[in-house]
Amino acid sequence: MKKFWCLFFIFWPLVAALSFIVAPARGWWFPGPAASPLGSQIDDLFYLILVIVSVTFVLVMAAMGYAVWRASHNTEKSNFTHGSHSLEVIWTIVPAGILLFIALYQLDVWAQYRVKGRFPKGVLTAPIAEVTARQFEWRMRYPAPDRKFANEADVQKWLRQPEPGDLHSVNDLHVPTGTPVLIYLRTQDVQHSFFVPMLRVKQDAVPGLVIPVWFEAINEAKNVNPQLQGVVHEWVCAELCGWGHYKMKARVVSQPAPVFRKYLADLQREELDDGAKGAAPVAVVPGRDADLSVAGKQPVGGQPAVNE
Amino acid sequence: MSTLNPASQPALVDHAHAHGHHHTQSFISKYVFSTDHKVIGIQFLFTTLLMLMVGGALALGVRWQLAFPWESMPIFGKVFAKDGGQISPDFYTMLFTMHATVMIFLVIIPVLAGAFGNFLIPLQIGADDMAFPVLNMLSYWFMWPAIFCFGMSFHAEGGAAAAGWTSYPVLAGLKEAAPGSGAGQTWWLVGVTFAGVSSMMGSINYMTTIINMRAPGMTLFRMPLTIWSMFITAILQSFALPVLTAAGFMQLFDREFGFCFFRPAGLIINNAAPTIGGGQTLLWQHLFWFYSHPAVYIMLLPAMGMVSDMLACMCRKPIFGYKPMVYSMAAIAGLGFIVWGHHMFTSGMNPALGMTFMISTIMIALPSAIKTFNWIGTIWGGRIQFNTITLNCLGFVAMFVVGGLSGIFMAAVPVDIYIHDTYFIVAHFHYVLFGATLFGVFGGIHFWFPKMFGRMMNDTVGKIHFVLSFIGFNCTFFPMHLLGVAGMPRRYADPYMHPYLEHLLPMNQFMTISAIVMGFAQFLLLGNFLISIFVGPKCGRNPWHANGLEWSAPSPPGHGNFDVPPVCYRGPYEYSSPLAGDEDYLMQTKYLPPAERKKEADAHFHAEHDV
Amino acid sequence: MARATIPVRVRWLATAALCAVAASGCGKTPEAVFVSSKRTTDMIRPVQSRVEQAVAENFGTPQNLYASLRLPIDYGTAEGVVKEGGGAGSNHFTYEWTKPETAEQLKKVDLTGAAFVWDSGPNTNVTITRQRKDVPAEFQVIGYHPTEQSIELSINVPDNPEPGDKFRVIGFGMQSGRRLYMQHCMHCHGVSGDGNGPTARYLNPLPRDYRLGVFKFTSTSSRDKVSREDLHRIIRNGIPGTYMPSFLLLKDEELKAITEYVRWLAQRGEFESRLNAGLKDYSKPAIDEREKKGESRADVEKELTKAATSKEFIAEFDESIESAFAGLSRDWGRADEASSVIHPKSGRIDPVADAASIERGRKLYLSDKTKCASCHGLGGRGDGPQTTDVQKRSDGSEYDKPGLFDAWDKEIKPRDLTQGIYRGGRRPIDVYRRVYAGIKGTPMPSFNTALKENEIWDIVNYVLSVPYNGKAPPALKEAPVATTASTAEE
Repeated sequence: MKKFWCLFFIFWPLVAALSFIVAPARGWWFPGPAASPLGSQIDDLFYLILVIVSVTFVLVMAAMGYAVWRASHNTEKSNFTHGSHSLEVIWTIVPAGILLFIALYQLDVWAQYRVKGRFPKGVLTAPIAEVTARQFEWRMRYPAPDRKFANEADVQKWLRQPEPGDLHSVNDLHVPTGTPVLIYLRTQDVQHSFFVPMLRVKQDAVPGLVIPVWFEAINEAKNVNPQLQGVVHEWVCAELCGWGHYKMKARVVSQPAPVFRKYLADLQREELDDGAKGAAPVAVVPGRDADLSVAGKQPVGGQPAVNE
Repeated sequence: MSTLNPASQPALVDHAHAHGHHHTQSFISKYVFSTDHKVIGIQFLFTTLLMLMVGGALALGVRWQLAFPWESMPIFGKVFAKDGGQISPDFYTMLFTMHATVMIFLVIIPVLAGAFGNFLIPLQIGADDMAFPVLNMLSYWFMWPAIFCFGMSFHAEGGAAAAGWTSYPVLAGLKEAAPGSGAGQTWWLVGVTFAGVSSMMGSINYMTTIINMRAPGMTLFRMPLTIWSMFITAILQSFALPVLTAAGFMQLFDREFGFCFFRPAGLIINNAAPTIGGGQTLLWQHLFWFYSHPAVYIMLLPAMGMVSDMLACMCRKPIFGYKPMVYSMAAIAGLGFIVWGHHMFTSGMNPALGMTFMISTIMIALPSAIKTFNWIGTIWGGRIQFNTITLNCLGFVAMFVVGGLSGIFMAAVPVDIYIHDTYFIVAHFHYVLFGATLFGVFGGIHFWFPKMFGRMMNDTVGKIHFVLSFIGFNCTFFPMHLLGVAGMPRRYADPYMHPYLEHLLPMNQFMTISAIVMGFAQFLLLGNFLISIFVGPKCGRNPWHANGLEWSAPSPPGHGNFDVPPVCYRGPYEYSSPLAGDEDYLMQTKYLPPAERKKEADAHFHAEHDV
Repeated sequence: MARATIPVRVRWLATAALCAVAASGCGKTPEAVFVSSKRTTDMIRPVQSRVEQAVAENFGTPQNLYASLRLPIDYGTAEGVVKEGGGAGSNHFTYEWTKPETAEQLKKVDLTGAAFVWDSGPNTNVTITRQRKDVPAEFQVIGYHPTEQSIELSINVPDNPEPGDKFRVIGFGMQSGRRLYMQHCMHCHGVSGDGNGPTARYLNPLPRDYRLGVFKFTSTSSRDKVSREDLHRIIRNGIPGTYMPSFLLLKDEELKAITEYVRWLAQRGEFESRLNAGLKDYSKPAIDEREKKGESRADVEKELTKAATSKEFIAEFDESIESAFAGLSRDWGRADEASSVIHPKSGRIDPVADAASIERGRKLYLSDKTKCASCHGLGGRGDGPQTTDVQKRSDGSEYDKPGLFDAWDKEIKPRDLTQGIYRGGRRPIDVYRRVYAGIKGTPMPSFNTALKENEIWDIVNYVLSVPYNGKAPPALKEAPVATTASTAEE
């Protein structure tokens, strides 16, 4: 029985470590590699922590397993000791150093992501769109294609007062690829959160605040959806916003700049459609009905959900 | 140091009488409105075990929906008979909100501080009761209004509170925002306030008792770690809780009297008129987490203390590094007050705050690591006995390591950008709160059961319960880490409508089945517990050969606890002391002649300063 | 109402959760049901059950949908041929799908409940006696076994089907429509499409009750029903300013399936209300009325019950079923014809080139000719004097409280035009159609006769300029601005 218990406690950490090793191959991992430079840095930090943590975990569990093994076979009286000053010092200083390293190593990426002064040059005055969350969808307002902003105050003015040339869409944000883009995030009602897993971006939309969020999407050729000529990044809500929280399904489409401008032009044509001459409505967004799984990643392993 | 118990003298006199006959007390004053800390502790224990089952049922409801979305749900689905048993999404939000509420406010906090704190503090410090027995009784009876309010929340118009246990405004703050934000949310806020009042009364009592009523010789550094942890928890509680209570009242005022602490202007919710206000929703988050992060340690520290006691006893070895253990608990408590912001990394607060909170949060892993190393040090070279208690303690340590290490991911802000509000978080806090704390509690129940009822629990059933719980627990919660990495957000009634999450359905089904196994395993504990009260083998005063003062009292202790007023001569962990002769334990109350005591002091000095 | 009882049930649920855990998994799973409209349940018992029976016979239950081929609905059709018959008088045979590319997909679909039509072979003209008449037999699939490739029918075939006999299974699109509807729509719109799902009553405005067959925002003229395209557009884009979200990212075939299912639910509801329309004498309010006039309630009920079981009544009722079908088929079919869609003959007046257009629109808006301001208010804030007046119903009776009401008897507010939120869409053509055809089921009237086309465009320009301090979005140019700009850059 002693052996059983020792093995029992050694077995589970092994399973845990193993599951992290098989997970990527089974599709239980990131939804594809990060599609943005900052996202790749975030992934790197994740893997760094994962390595440190895994090694620590395995060592600690091995130590515990070994200690238990020895202690269970001890027929003598226990070793009478109240501790060891030097050991305490060692296992205070070493982890402190590692932890401090982890903490300081993160700062730069965080600063790039959030500190306005470190934002890529010019993005603050060239917003792609204002994104307004509401129960339970995302509404986009793009500035008119020929609208240029003189300075940040001009952007603030635009955020306060909609302009007649603005373009609107819902649940479908298009951005140019390969260049940092900035959106202004706000909410019309409760708190929501802008979460694009493939871009590794998350930012709460807080009632009463307008928060600038920047990201850069890099299109990888194999992910490009031929109809859209761009890559579809699924976009969800990550902050409980009511009963329809799970319904806030949207997408960010990153397209080469000319395609993006063409998209805006099409959007403008649709938005100004006056239905004259009996013409059918403009075929607006190419491939709006595109199958997402083609563009995103291929689900590996596991069956697609069929709720029959 | 004057630690003489001022109340112990009359108690002594009492004992002389109390020996042969019992106090003539009515049933009600003895078992219902009792002021005896032991009865109150046991009342807390029964109540929390009951609530554990309620919270578990709510959790299984959540799990069912995640495994079999929109399929006819057992039990809960009957409410939706017209819709074919398909629960509604607002009901789902209600399920997870109330699951968290019940588990946190009615199970974990009261089972640690309420049940074990009450039962153990006077016994372990050698007092005859708490400093304020009536306050103590009230602290238990204030839990019932809380339970009542949470219950009322269910049958409010619109259903129970459904804005998450975090209750973020504006969702929770405006009646229009969600069905559960109607009267259900008001009941919820009142319930939380009652639970808070109950905890607060307990905390004040614990602090006073521990400071004033220790037995002669029970210096601060001779206190068992359980007492230290209860002491630190009580301090944490009494400093953090007022903030939550105040915040709760602020939200209540926002909701009921048109105040606007947390309500910005111009929000249009559910087509109501635009809101009027000038408040800040982030303010709630700051206030809420200022309590609720320390609350995590309130939900963990006592279990750490209890496990230290049990582990030392079961390894027949002094706890490794007693003082580092105490200091690290104090450090956790101290740091615990300055890390709340890590719940708000993506909330849009000043990025400089993100950096500060990251550093403090990562550093809080340090005392946790020290404690883990010390537990392993305690096992090292010990003579371990594999009984239910040991297993649960080892389970505690292992689960705490997982929960602690996964915390580093979310403490790191950039990584947290991705995993915030995903299942990674859910995995993390279940590892800490369920994996660690509840296994500690399971161990504690088995360990102190003989003292509570004078009988032993069945060890074989205990072991089966442990194995099923442990496997069920890990199979339920470990895959959540992977779900989190895959980007599955929390609180989704139907994640599979997002193509990138579709393939996670089979995994969720596996987790749900594991959760059901784990849920049903708890009936073993409950059965073992209830049956052993009546038919378990009788035990003596000290069935575990442990050192603490509580083991010198009769099992179960009578009114006033000790038949012989205890005097404490040494620390609580002198297991396998060479001075103990043939025995491998040396009770705190055991008197040794002066020459021996000199030896003991020398040994102690060497032990602390040598390897 | 079933909804009102929920909190009571939740009450014991909360307290009995402990016992419930022990019993989890036990008990029969409940089945979803189509509920009857209030007008039906208000009928005296025999009439009520007759209506309910007629609806159930023609539309089935949520588990077993009935695809009535008389309705203009695309149920989703699979074509196949018989491989081997099960013998004369039997009801089963093995099959092969004609289109191999859909065969794989059809394996995953449950065809049970789908309608079945013989296209060739000896069984094409089978009739059965129903309601004392010989009518063409309406076969239904009652058993579908994709692994054995066999089908069971609801009616035995008189002759053994020969290998190669062609058939169609109609209704699998409905199956997926129903599945998607139950997943995405039912929480608000209810299983029956009555706008009374579990979350419905917390929403403002309330979700649409399809059962009148009336939808507000259509591209069709004021007399016409909603077209498929309109529903598709609404489901895809959502309705801003309401809880109706955008389902943009569902696949096109999924949107189509939902659209058809919604049309089917609407027609089911309309069928029920068309049957009810001729039966007002049998309803509780009518009986109450007669009781007030001094008749004895028991006598009245007896008389009505007797009348309801008479031959004439049954014949008339059967007639009304037929005419309901004819009406549904005509009206819903016409909505999808290209000629029903409103298109202005000339394009929009450019408010930039013709700056006076907005001003002309404003004058029209304020004029007695349109009376826009009487509801929408002088400043367009939706606060006109009509909103505080007591309005009359179509039958002349007054509402209990002041305000505007829609066809569902729910209080509604005229749109606040300053917000720039347009529920029916923000394209000029959308606003044009709102003015031209009105908003169905609401007091917003149609102006197609009162106003000339350019006058409507002036009003549209004015309305579109309200949120932007008098500047309207420009008219569509031949060559889009952005494209020229982008080519110039490159």
